[in-house]
Amino acid sequence: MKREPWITGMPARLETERFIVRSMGPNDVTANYMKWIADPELMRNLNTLPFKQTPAEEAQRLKSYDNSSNFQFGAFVKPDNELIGFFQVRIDRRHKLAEVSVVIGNRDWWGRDAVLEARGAILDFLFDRLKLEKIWGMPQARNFAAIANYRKQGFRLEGVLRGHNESAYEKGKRLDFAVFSLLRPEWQARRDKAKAS
Amino acid sequence: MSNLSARTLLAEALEIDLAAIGDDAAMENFEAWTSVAHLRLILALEEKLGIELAPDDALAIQSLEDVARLLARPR
Repeated sequence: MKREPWITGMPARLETERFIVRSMGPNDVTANYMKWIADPELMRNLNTLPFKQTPAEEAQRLKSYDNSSNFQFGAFVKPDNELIGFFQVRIDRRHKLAEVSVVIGNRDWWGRDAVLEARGAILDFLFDRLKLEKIWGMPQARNFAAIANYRKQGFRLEGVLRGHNESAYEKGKRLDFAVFSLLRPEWQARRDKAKAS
Repeated sequence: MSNLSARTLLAEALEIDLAAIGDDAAMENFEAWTSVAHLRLILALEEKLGIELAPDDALAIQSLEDVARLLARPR
């Protein structure tokens, strides 16, 4: 896919075979998006209570992403630009790290490798443009779908953080989290292998 | 025996024929082993074993061999 120009602080736009993956803005606060962030089944995986803010408040929140140290990318299906989910990225410039999390809100896209494809573009962006060295994610240890996606994308399991957070949904329950990471040489090796095959 | 059970569980989770599950079936090399299939597999495995898997055990499942090993483990 062609690489579009980007400078720090500007919304980023990436492209894959099936998706446009770009920084979300206030205009992306659709009715479906508002349903997803208020959906306990989806927010449970993030251990976040369903959002209660209004569309205007959410539009304002999206403005807080500076497209430099943090991003919220939407995955938009080509060619109709239907939003199916989003990725949040928090960057630690000093240590050249980024933490990534994902929600695929449109259930029709579950199990169709949307995460792998869209996150692949984000990984290219983070390693190639931002020159980061390590990308990591921390799904709940029982978020088996997310874990499969980390594994399939070449992330390695660093370990389990036992009883790391209080559950937002079950009083008194503490949740385990798995830490997965991907280093620049590992991602490069996967890309080289994919190119060669 | 447990290998057949493992193969059956995996085939059902991946929604493919039993015959398509080779001895070397692994998440990494199997297109049908999607995120949702993996979720189905772990839940089916837990149901069969009658337990909630410990995080280390659930996280270790990446292949047919891993599933068979868990099923064969003394309980």
